Amino acid sequence: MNSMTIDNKYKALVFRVTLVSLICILSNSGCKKFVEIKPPINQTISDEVFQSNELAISAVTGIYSEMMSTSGRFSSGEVTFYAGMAADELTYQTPTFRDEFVGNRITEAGQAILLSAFWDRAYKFIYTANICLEKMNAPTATISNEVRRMLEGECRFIRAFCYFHMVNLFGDVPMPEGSDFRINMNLPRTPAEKVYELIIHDLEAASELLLEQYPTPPTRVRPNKYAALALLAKVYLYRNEWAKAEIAATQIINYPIYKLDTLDSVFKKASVEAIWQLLPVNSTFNNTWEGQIILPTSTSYLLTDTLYKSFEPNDRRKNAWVGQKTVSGITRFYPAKYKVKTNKDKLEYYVVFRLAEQYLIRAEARTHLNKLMEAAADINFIRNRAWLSNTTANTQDALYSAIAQERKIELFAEWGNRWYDLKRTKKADAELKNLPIKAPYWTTNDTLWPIPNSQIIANPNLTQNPGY
Amino acid sequence: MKTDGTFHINIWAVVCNIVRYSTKKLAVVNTSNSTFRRASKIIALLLPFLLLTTFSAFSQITISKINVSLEDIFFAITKQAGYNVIYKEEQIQKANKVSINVENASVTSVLDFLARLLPIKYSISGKNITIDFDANNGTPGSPPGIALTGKVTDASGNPLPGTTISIKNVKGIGAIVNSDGEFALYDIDPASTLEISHIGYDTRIIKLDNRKTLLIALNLQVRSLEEFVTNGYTSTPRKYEVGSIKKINFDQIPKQIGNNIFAAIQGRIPGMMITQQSGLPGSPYRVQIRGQRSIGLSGQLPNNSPLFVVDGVPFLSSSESISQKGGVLSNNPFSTLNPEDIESIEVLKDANATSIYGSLGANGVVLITTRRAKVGVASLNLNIYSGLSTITRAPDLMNTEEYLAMRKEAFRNDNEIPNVNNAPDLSTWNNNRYNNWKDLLIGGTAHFTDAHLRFAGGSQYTQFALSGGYNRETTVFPTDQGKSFTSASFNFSHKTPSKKLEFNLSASYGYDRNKLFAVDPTQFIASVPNSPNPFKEDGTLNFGGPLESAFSNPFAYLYQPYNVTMERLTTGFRLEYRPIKKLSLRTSAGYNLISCDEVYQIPIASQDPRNSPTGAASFATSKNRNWIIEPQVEYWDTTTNSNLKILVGSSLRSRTGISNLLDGFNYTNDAGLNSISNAGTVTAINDYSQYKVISAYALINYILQKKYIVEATVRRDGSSRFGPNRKFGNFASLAAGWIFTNEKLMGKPSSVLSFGKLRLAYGTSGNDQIGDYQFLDAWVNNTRNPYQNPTILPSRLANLDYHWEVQRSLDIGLDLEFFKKRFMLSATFNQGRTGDQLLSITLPVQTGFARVIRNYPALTQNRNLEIELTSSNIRSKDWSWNTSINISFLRNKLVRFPDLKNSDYGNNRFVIGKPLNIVWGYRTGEMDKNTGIYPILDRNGKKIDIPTSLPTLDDQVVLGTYDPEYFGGMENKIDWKNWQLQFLFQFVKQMGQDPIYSNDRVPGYAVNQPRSLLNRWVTSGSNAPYPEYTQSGNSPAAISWFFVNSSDLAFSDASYIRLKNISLTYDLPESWFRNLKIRKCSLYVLGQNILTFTKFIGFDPETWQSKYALPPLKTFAAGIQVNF
Repeated sequence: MNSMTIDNKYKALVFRVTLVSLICILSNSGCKKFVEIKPPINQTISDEVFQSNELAISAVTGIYSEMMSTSGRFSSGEVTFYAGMAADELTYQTPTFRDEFVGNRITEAGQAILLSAFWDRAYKFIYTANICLEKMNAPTATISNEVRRMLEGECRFIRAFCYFHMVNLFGDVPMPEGSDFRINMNLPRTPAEKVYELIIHDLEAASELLLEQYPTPPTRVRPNKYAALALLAKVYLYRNEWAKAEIAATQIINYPIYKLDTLDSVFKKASVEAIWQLLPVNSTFNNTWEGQIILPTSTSYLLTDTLYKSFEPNDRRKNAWVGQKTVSGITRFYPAKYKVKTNKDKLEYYVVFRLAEQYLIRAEARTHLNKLMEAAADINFIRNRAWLSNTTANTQDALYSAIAQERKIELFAEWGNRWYDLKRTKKADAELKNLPIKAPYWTTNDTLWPIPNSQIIANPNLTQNPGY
Repeated sequence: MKTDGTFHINIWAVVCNIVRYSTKKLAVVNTSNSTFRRASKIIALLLPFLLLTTFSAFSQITISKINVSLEDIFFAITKQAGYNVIYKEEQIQKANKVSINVENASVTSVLDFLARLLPIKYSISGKNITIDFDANNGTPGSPPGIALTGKVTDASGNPLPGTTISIKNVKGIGAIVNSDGEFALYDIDPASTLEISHIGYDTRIIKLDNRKTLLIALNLQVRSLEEFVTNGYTSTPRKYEVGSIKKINFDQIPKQIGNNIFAAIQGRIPGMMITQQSGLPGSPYRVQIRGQRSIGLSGQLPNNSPLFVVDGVPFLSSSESISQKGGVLSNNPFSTLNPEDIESIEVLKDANATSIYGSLGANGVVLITTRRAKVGVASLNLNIYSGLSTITRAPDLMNTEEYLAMRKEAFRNDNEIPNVNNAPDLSTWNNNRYNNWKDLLIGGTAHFTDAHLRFAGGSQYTQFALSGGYNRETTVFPTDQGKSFTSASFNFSHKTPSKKLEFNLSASYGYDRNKLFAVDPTQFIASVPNSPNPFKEDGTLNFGGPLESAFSNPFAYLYQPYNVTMERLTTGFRLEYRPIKKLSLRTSAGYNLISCDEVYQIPIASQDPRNSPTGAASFATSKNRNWIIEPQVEYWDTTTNSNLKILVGSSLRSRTGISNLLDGFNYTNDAGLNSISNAGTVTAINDYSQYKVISAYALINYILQKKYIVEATVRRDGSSRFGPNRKFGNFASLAAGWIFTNEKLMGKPSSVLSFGKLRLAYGTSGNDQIGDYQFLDAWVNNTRNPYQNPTILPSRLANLDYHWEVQRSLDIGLDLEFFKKRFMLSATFNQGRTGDQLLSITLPVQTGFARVIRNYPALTQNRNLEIELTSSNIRSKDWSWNTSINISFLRNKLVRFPDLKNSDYGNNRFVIGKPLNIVWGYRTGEMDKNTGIYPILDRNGKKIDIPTSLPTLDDQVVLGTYDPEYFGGMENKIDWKNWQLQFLFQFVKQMGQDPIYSNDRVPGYAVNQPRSLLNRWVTSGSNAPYPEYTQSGNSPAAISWFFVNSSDLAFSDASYIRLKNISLTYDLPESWFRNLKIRKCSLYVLGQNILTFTKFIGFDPETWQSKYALPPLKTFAAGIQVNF
């Protein structure tokens, strides 16, 4: 064959293949495009999550699932247990590191649980909420507007819920508002005031974004508008914003689906009192971690004598919500709001917010607003359900005491309410320092738990709370 | 001038302006000069002995052409000398073609020359030449001399101008090959023998055997400085190479038994540590060049495997396995490459050589080139060998009597009474039975057979090669099953006569089928020697009972098949165009597919029926697809004073991995195990990943006055493994060389030091072995807990900032050659520092996660000294003896790690200033002669009072490193007439784990032990190296033993010297098969791992890390190679 012919025939081809591809490759845009790769299939990246309503919902509901997935999380019982011990509600039957909380003398061992159950978990949920908030509002997101509003409301609610507990337990805490670790890793502690500002901002937004109806009725296992308002009312109360607290609580109390349930049903799955419940996800016992952990075993949490003795005679709650067992010949009492340790069916859900608390919030707000009659009426809703007669308090001070007492009993061993109340009403010192279980160690610094030391090493911008 | 009637004009004649008169085949040739030149190019030839033509005073003719017709010669005569040639076309066409090479010759000398070769007569009258054929003039004289033409090339088909051709025993006749590689010889005896020689290449002796054309390819001499080495994308003569590159030509090393390329190069490449992982067929190798660079995400030192490139297409790394179920049997994708199809392996070690691979090159680059098609007469090469293997070494274990005595003594020491529950071996099992599990399980002989057929050849323009291979090997286990391997490859090259366009097409395929079991039975050789027989009388597996206690039958695992099929398909294509002589445009493209199919079954019959077992089966497939496109432009310019080469190129690479795994459980009968649909429950996983790299690079090489060499490389890389902000990065290197022996100041090259070169290279390269997608955040399915509906969880933080680890490396090298290549020395010092380490760094959990992958300013350092010596000890007519030795010293350390103490990498892991591969352990005191227990010392050197208090990690100290102190090989090649003996010793100086002290099976437990343990403490005052026997888990002796496992006692020498390869080849004398059309026939015997010298006790020192795996095998083979 004539070589010239071949040369001519392929000359153009080789030139083109070589030069064109060289130019293509060297051009910047082609380059960047080439190294963009398809996402993995076993994992989903955040941008993809918010391209599907179902995936987006499964990402946000993943937080609730994680809140309940194992024991040892602030959201599955540890706030109740550890804040209960730090206050005057609970003790532990056998000596363990938990005694550091009962005696308010937290050291290394106690810090481990503060890291794993509180610090680590709360920030994981906050991170998840943050990245969801970022990605659902990113240009790449294609979820429907309804779903976006619902999920944004839920994420803001979750973030507020986590920061609420963190700020109450640790005081000033770092406050990531986004997902970028490069920023978050160096954040110092934000003053509690500022944290509350974010909480209020989030909750106000959430109460606008969320619908009155629950996302998956009839269950109340995902927050609706009133769940956001329930936490908001509590936050207003803690911030002494009485009028706002009263309005928020009233909105909930007036919403027809919420009613005070019978004492036996308050913590059941179909409780009409519940405003927000967490769905148990453990497949071996199917019910709450509190039921699993507290209900009698050889070691578990017990009520303090102080608390047990605080029940008025004839208070039905004593029978309904307190259990008893004999340990070493002595009768001991334990919280028994949850009664199912294990069952093949889910009988009890974990109640986070319920109507009774809203009555007590409103009563306290109204007392401050000098609406004493209305305040007393609110207290009486709670007392009457417990088969107690109306309160006799008729002055502001008397009503404060009556409300404090009622909160102590109605909300005992429930989400740290007692510990938080003692701190916010500045009564912790007075009520705790003389208790025999705390006396030798108690100092005013103990109202705040220590920041886990490993975190101060990992982020030198963090400071420790006084006294640790 | 005769005319015989009509004109016959063909197109060719018209084009060429030739008038041809012919019906009765007579022609007159009269052509025009310019068109003729355009029409046919004449290839110049040098033919010194034909100088007879120069005496002519007549018009002069210059013509040189191979296999040319008389007509063409007549054209030339007509054209150049202005003659008319009159001939009968019919006769001329019958005449043989001739080859001619004359310069300025007279017409008569040309015609005389033709008349000698062909039966022609000529007459000249004026300007007319009349040619007449004389049929009777066919045999002038006897025997007739023949004309021979040929071409000499190197192994890749490049012409080798200057090659001398001489005829044996005939003085004064010969030829020198011209610039196109061609030569011609005339009037030579058809039975003569030619000798073809070229400096730097092996001289070839060829018997002519009446052949009239020859295509001869010469092979490079070993270690020749003229040899070309590939420096990434271009090649340079070794003499001018400034990087650190080692090339292994597979033609020059003995054949390898089994298809493993790593076995072939082990011990031959300085700086490259190759360790076999087990003796199982197809087992992987650990390959590392110049030490550990990366710390790794979890502090588990990653393999730092080099980049492997097969015929330009990136392959899997040596540490990667695409098998999903393998475990210890994990198959090695490299076993789909047939060593017999490999031409060479080049290992690029330094920054200069690897920086052109940019972000991929930090761990070194291994270029594997399969056999190319070659110029030469088509030949068929058949190679068949067959052989046997057994284990190299194994611990000598106790027999039943010794074992039972040990057990009884252990009970006595513990003050316990043996009973059915704590000692079935002493109670219900027959105390007289002896199952030698070592012999039963791994005492067999593995057989293997290998056949390889290769058919190759080609003209100077077109070459091809086809090959096919098959081999089969069994194991030392008690089963006939094993591994079989089939391979096929094809290679085709073509270039146009103008040599402007060239292309090469190749395809190769490997099919590797491994039928074994998922569990290596070697680990059971220490089973209790008097345990029940493995089989019942009816031939079924015995699990003990009814009269004997149950036992775990090692043979059960042999009934749990694990079959792996690996396939590899590699295709490549390369197109090159040279528009002008100094410029080459080329594009290569390649595709590589590796797939792996696995079936793993656990039949009910292989399990103890008392547990009412169910069956299980797994089905896995994975595929790895790679493609690459690399367009390049190369320009070079050579003047008398300098050589310049510029290469600009780019590369697009993509890799996709796909895998599926189905695990089926609860099979109710074994017949259904072949299908997943019969499983009671099924779990399934699938995965997909993608990896892409885009690069642009440039290289400039300049050689001035054959003395000074400068080379610079830059590369810009983009990798999909990094975040959008950090995908691109730049790498560069600069290297210089100085051939000081060419310096005028040194005077003439001395006869002692004939060559000397100093080289220096510095540059950067990267390591991106981090896995795909790691920079992205990721959500995974929350499989545990649906919240009404299934949910997903975030599993990782996005880190858009991380990028490759960066290595900065400096090489200083010296290459010397003494006594005219009798002795060569090459030494290289290298320092490589790797920073920006990719680590999993602790984060404050306020970020949502406790860790993230980040580049951390930790710095590691490797210092290497590599020395290579080559010596021609004997060079004589019948004898030659060559020795080459290489040795590498390696020092690795962690130079910097900010805040090491507070990081996850601090405690009992890394220490600044110490090697990465550091060994922590307890110190032990002298054995307590009263108790027979080794005391464990605390950090202050005080004995710890076991069991009252126990040692903690704080008591551990740094014992040393498992890094080899030095390693290398020594090869000898001895030729005597037709015999060739080649053998390679490989050596490694290293520490490992003592097989006895590191054995977590406490002496005295119901496990057999090496016989060495008979030398144990017996009574107070005994003086023995091993502690007292114990069978209790809580006795101080047992507790102490657990700590001894990771103590200075367990840290022991695992150095060895091994006769790795030996081969003896005998080339049968050609006279034996002269009439059989056989060109060459050799017989050979091979041996592998024949002798091992070591202080190491137990299994093999090479595989000490996998304590219970089958050690490398000792192999003998014999074979025959025939070339037709």
